[in-house]
Amino acid sequence: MTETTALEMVDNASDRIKRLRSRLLDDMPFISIERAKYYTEIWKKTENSDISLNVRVALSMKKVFEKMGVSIDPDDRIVGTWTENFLGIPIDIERGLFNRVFEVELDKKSMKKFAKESNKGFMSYMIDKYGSDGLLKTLDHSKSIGVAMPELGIDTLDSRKINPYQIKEKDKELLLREIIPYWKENTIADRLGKAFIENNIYPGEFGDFIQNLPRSTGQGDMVTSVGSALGVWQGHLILDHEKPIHKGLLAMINEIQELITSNEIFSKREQDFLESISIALEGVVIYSQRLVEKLEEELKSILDPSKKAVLIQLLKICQKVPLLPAETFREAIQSYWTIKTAVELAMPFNVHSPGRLDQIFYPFYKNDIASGQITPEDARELLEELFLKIMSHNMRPYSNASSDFSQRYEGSEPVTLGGLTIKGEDATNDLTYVMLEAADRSKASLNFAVRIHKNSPEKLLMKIADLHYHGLSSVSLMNDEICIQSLLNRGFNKEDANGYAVTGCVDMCSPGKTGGEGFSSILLCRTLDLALRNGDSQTLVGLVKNAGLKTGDPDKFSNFDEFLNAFFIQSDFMIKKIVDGSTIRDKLFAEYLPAPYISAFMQGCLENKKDITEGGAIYDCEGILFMTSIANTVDSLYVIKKLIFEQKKFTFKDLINAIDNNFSNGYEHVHKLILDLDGKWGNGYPESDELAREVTSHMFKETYKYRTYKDGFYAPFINSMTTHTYDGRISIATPDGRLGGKPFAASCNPYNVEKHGPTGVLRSVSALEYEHVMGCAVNIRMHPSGIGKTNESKKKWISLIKTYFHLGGEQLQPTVVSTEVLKAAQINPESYRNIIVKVGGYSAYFTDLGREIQDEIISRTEHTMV
Amino acid sequence: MSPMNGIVFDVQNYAIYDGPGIRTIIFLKGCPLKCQWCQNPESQLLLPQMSYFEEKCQACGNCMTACPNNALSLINGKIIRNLSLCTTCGTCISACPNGVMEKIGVVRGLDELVEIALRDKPFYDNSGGGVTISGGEPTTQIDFLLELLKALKNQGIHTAIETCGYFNENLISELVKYVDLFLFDIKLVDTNKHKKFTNVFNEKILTNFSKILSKVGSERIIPRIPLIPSVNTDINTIQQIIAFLHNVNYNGIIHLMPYNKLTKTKYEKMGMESFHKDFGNLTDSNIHEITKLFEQHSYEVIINH
Repeated sequence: MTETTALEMVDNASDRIKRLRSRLLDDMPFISIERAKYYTEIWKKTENSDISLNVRVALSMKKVFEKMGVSIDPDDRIVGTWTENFLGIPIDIERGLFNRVFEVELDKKSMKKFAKESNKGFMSYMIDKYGSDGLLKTLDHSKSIGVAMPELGIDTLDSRKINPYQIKEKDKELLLREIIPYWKENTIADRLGKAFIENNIYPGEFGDFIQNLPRSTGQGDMVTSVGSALGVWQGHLILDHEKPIHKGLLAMINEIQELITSNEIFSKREQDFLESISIALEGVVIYSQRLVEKLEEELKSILDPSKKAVLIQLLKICQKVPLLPAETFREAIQSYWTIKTAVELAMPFNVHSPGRLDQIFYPFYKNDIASGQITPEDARELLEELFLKIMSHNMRPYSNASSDFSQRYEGSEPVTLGGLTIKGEDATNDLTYVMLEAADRSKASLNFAVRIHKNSPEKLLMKIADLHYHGLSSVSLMNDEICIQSLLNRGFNKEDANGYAVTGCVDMCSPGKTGGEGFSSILLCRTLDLALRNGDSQTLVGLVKNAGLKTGDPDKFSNFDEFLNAFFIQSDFMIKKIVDGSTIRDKLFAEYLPAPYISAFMQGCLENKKDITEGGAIYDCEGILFMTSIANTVDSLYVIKKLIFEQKKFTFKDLINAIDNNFSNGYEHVHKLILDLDGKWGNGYPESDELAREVTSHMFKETYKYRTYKDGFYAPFINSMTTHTYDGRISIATPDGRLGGKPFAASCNPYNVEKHGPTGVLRSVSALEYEHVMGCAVNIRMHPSGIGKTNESKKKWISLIKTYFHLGGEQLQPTVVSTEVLKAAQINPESYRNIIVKVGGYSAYFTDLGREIQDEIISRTEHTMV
Repeated sequence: MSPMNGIVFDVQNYAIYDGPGIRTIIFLKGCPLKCQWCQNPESQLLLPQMSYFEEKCQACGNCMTACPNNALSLINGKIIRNLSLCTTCGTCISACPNGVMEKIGVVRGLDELVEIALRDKPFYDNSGGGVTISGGEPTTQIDFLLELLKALKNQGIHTAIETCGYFNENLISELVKYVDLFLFDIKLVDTNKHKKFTNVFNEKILTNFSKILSKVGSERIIPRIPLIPSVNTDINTIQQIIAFLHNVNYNGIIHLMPYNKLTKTKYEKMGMESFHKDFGNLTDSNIHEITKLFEQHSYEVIINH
């Protein structure tokens, strides 16, 4: 019998929320050039002045707030857009992550030209290196394997199917003719590329190789070696929202002005810094005045009394907050939203997560409920709107070359709920439940990370089980006991550790105190390949010599430990590459792009009189993502241990040949031996679980050896976002039997799991040392019958999670939807618009995802009950 | 065979519908009944068998060449197995590139099974779960079953068996020592009808039920009623079952097991397609009506989909 109740797409939202949601899901967003235009205007004007850099940034952004347009929708009860459109994106022109995307991908002609030039460069590099015969052979080989570099194609930003954007003709003209050319070579992204070369970051032949590969137009991340890459972001964070909500911006400006005019003596740097954050706060005040003006303007043209009443209420709220302290629930939410929108615009796409909203808003909610100012239903509807709006900041104009691997909303600005208070008591409150309801009804593609500890109320757990059963896959669970220990281990004090929240996808931090979690990644399977080939790296387009270190011919190793040691030498080297690269990146941010708008809302900066990019915040860190992937790497090592060293079924040379032939051309038997080998990770086998722990613990430890440019710590995160499909597509076969071009395992998921159900998976996953991991994503895909509709079966589901946490698991994010439904959604996407699935560490609408990720999700083992 | 080894055809973790808490189910091969609706046709024979998934077969013939007993032949793009020659050695499994062949029923040692069961002990402990031994009919391998139950009890694991109830009543005194919970199938009360659909009369089954009940009480035995359309889902048949339970003074909970018709592939894989029978659909209202009947007689009902 099918579980009909769980398969229905229940949508309980009000008509107003449905209207907002459907526009956010289906309207084509505009690329707004206003930010880029006004920012550049002041930047140019102050070019030859002696105004300090941080003040220039603050002034340029302030100009944006003065001149930009905002949009108000009749369905708004929370006001504030970050462009002049209902749905749009600004341009981070000075950081420049997407400048080249705009430069190239707004026109078919420029796309063709770019592809042609970049291919030409690649071809001549290959011919120089291998001759034309060698080039053809390489290309034929890749083709026969079925792997291919993603192509740019000719689908322009506005004509492509996945994640499209439109731009007004005259805006496009100005952007391409004037704004982008002005910034060329001077964005952070451009500077970083140059700095890597100047600092000899690339080992061996890798520098030559990477510079001649067909270029991508996106500059969001950059490789530092075959096995490591960096995000060119300033760093995910959570602003301190409590201070402005409770104190108001005017008081915060006063506080700085008093300091400036006090008797205290400041250095020039410190004076500049104080001035920059004071201007930044004024900038946000100006933004909030723009909202007031817009509301006043709307009011003039509206005659309908009920619509007028709504606008008057909004006007009153916006006249008051965030300038003055919030006193009601509605005011607190508006205060939060105005600041969040303004700061997000100042540093677009940097992922500024909301933090512990059920804690921040609860005092206001409690008062308003007690005084009858608001009902739980009205509060819930307001939160539904808020969640959808937070979601709307989370889209990025990625290149068409990666559009098959992306989607409109990345859903990665998690809301943190529940957990412990800073004093260590249960923090769950009435608003926690209202927020979970709102998460369900809004169907916002946003993560809701619910913190669970040993005294979490049964009611909360049963509520979550019920939401899971009904298919809400945006709720993930964090294990407080492990998470808090992990923060303590990295130097957070007890109260800050207790008060942690989640940013980015799954990254823990102390909200309002942690100055931007930069991120980089180590590509584990590529690192393993270096150990197989004595420091060389096999790619789809030939061998790159000396991309790693010389660790010896593995066929000369007498035991597995020698090989493991060679792998560790290579992985230590990759981590070092990350450290070198991220230090250069952070220094560039400090020297060229300070962040006064973030620093104004981050604890520690005012006290230290230091910008966040110089390490002003109380805590700082760089996350090293473990990608491509733990499961494939551990299984590969297990295969090597068993089949090469113990059973002597083949040699390393055989294995390398098999990989280079993608397990065909006479190497099918090697593949079969590998696939038939029992005991791989993810089935709860003690031997491979122990191997996984040993391998990861070594690498975790290596990361803490180093300090960042801002004197923060390096720490591991286990999260792949969508890179496991993208990296899989451009990677050769791996020793675990994964064929070339196929996805790697996602995040912390096992890969070869068929045998022992969810308990086997969770036992294996929990074998790692999470008290040294600052965040991880563990997906488990359940059929609704695996949770069941009765209270009794739901209690078993909760018990499964609790036991997994007891065994040491850190996080769990179930996707509860049956394979039939996902397949139906591929055929009739319009009928399944609201299905949310977990991708890497974040949630996304399934029908928004590229086909490759959709197929990867369907292929994940579905735990069902028979 | 030594009582320390059993023929096992599956082990499933995170079972949530076969006894209290989170459980591991160990499926033993062999069954004295031949129910027409059998959901596990691969469980009926005691001996190991080979299954063949024709849909995935590419007819490459590798298995044929590899077979040391010449038991396989390729006819019309399909592998035909000569059962009198096949020794279920499993050579064809490793020879097949497409994973078409599978051995159903593997001899496994007691220690190995206990070790597997123990791995999930934290989950049992947290949820009040344990191990359920199912089949087939687990008492078909009675010596092994008792050893396995004893070993599990020694490890402090809660035990349940899922039984058709057709076994020698002398076994009861031993079983009740090591089985914490009996999940006991009651299919039909009318013995002639029982014989028609399951190949055996049911006197032995009903007697065993009442004997076990009198020894362990209603807390440790649960009647499970498979709901098979047009066999036992009419009001009259259900009322006979209720009357029986009343007569033997049963006052615990009832498990209803709605018929699952999606078993055709299983029969085909075992080469038993001629035995497959489709009993049609069970409607929600039908289940609801039956549930109501039990509830009217103060029985608590759990529906195991």
